[in-house]
Amino acid sequence: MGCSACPLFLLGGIFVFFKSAKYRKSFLKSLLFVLPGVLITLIFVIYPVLNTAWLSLNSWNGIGGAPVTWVGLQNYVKTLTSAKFWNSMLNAFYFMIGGFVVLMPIAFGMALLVTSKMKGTKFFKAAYLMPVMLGTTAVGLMWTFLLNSNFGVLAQFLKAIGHGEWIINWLATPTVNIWCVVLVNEWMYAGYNMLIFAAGIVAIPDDVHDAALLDGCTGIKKIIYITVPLCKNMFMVFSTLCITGCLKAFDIVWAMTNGGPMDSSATPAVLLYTQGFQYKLMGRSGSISIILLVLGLVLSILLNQIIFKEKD
Amino acid sequence: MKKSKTMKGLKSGAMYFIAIFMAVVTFFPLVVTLLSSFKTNEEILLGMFSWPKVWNFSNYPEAIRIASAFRAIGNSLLVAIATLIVTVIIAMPAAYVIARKSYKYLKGCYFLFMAGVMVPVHCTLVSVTKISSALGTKNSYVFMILIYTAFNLSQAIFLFTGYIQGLDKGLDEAAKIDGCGDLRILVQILMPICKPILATEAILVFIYGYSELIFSLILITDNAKYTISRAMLNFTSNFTTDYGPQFAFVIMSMIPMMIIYLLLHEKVEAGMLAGAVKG
Amino acid sequence: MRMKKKLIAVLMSMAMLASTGSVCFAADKSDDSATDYDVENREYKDVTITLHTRWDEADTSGPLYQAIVDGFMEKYPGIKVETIQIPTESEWLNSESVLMADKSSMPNIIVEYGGSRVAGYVQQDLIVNMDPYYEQYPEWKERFNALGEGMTDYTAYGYEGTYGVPFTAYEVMLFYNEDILKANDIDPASIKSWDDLMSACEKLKANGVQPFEMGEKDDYRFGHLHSVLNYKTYGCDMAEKLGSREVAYDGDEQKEIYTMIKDATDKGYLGTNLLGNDDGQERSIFNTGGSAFLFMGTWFCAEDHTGLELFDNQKIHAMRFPYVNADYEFDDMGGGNEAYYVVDTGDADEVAASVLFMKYMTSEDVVNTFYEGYPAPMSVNVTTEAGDYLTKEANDVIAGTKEVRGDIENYDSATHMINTVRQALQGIAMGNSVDEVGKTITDLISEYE
Repeated sequence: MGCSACPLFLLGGIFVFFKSAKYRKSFLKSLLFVLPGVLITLIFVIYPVLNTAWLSLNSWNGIGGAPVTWVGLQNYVKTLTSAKFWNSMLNAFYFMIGGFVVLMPIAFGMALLVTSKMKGTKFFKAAYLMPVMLGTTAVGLMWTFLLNSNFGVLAQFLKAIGHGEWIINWLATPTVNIWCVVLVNEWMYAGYNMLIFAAGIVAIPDDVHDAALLDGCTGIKKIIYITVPLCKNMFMVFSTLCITGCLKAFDIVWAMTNGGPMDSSATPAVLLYTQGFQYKLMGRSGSISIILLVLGLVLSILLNQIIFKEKD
Repeated sequence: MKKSKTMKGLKSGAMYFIAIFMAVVTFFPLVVTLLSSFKTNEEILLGMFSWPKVWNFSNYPEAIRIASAFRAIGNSLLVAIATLIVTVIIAMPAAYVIARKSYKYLKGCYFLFMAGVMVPVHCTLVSVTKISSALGTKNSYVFMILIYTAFNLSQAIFLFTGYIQGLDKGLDEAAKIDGCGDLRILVQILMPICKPILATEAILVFIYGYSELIFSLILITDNAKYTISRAMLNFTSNFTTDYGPQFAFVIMSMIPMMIIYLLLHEKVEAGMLAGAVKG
Repeated sequence: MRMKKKLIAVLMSMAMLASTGSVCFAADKSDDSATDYDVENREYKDVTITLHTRWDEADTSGPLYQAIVDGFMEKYPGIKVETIQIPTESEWLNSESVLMADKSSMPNIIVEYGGSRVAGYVQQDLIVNMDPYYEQYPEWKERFNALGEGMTDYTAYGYEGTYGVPFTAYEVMLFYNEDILKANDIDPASIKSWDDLMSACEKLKANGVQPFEMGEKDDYRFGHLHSVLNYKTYGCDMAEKLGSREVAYDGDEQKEIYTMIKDATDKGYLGTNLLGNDDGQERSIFNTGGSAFLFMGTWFCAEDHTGLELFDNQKIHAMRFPYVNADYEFDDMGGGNEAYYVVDTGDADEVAASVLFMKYMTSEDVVNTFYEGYPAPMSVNVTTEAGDYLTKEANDVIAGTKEVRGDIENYDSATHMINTVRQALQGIAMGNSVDEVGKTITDLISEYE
């Protein structure tokens, strides 16, 4: 694993050797700062990924000692031609839409509210973070009951306002079910992402606020022209985390629908899990992992380059 | 004059309304959980949102018995706090260097961490178990904390880097002129200013460490070391689920998290940077 | 010189005597390795074995299983048993899959349901064949009854031998609410065939009473229904026919079964909120008089029914699941509930200790004690009386059973089949046609080839 990097290190070492002592010192210091993180990530995150990548080119049933047979790109072909896979990608895409259209504005709005001079922000902070503190299991359980078409609150509410005919089995109807999960997901993570935005908003120095006031730039105008641009980095961070999170979405989907019925609400991560650990198709499962990884990287890089051109 | 005052009143009224509405929407599941924790299984399954007919207090001692609640909560706290400390210690310097220095390899490192955020957890299970068996770390919290850190580092470095990049470079330049080395700049100048993002990341890591299930399931088999999420499984027997005590357990496990959150979020307050640049 | 020779001769003859003697004691075994299978008479020092199970501390059975482990460790102080108990299905499967992926992390005993997953392990020579041990201890083999046979026999896969030790068993039968049937003028004794059952359902539905309230959110409900209807229509060996694909999932025979389920669903007999209720709710509704019938495995009898009026007043009864084809009246769905498979980790001490644990667990006193606390049907012979009236009724039904098979997909070599078939059947609750069910299954078979 590290062997392929050896020549690189060697070259790097030689390069450094020829620089001034001062350069060397600060170079090494920076290296030291970043080294523990890099090492841990390489060992526990990257090595498994390389393993998975290799498995994705093979066929293995996950049993220790069982033969690992080379199949080349066959797993990828099977995955990319599978209707179930594309349905799961669609579901992940719904997650992303939900993330950017619903979650982002709400989380940012919450962040603005809790960092403002309003009264009771402490209470609001706590309330908004409540869903994610309950944990995915409890949240999943609760919303599953809420959406029960017999005794769930939504059904009873619809009956009460005389629109009983609008009641369907939300969690069992394709497309409706994934959107329910997406919305519950946004509901749960609004407070979580509020924290990220709040940190960015809070970092804006007071004198910026003062200057804005002097210029007569207040309210919505201020938000659009001052707060948002100054939080650009946090938006970028949110976007990357959102995209990767949506591609990896597993817990809330599993808790609410188990990916069903008939894998209609499955996200790629759910397919990865069932195909790997329940159907024992480790190669197929690996191919899905790698596709997700590559897709995530491509999307994030694109996002960085296109939307947030100034990166350094 | 009058007009703008009414406008202001309306605006702030609208703000309060939205804020309260969102709070209600997010608060009500807590109320439901609380009520359900006092009901019997039958009552819950057949009517989730009604007031309990009989206040069944036995769910709490039952939860404590089934999940060894206090021990599980204690374990989760320990793991979450340890993960948080290790993550911050490793992530902060890395983020500083990536955000402020311009060595070429740092771009590669950033790329590495970006990749780290994208890895779906399940595909790493088999490899991590292999490493664990090879090192003989069965039931070791140290190993599990290391894994948790590994999977949180990427996000932490991301957050910290983004935040530091948004800070004015004038701060460290001023410090450099005063003769401060990198370490001093990091610890004495940037860390205090980074309190908001540190507190934020602390909460995020805490939530992760508290509710993580997949790794703790595989790596920890000694039931004295179970964390909350693992102990929660005990409420689902082979063919039925004990909902009442499960909800009681959820309430109990939420309390320490609430406390920690309230303590930490004090730090995320506006005005932290007043006068920072002027020094 | 002479003395030495004499001494050697004496020693050699003593040795010969001794070896003949030991051959005599090792009951007609000419094999030297006979002592390898004698797990009782072996020294155990600091041996640790790991047991991977679905035991559940919150269930009545949990502490009983734990008592078995404690009792074992007391009797054999040189052996330590560590248990991994994961009560929920998907996490348990997750854990087993991960641990069995590498020789260094494999547990010593795994609790499993047989089927292609275990067949995969057997194929890799990972599961210990119990036959030599049963030869060593014939009285041990006598303790098992026919119920557990299905879980230990892999000849269909081409592997001779007995793999796994079954423990608890089950049978799927029909439970009914006496009061509701009486109130609607239905005599339970008259329900012998599926048609009889359907007429009863029609009567109930006409009177505004819900016959079944199935929780198909848990897709194993229709899965079990499909299996049991198959056995009642075509006999138990349909399991092997489907497993080997001799009979097709989209063929006429299977379509007939799908039609039976679909008709009952469409007429509303099976439930009013099929996809919204899970099996916990299904049972709650039946237990509190919300439905007339419940078809369920006998684990239902051992569940905690304290405080429930219907059980206190003995109004819930068990009866055999109705036949479709009278020839197969006594072909039932059931068998071993769980089997304990000893994993060959390569360490002879661990393997021996594991086998010894299984021998202890299935010994008469231990089983009786367990049964007295948890009176579920067993694959091991029980020589004690226990259980409430419902358990006795269920046992009577089991006593009359002639042939059993478990989940029909367990006899298929593709591991995904159990999920695939169950998911496709769930489609019936979503309104899919019979053809669509068959097509979904065959499509998925080719996708996961």
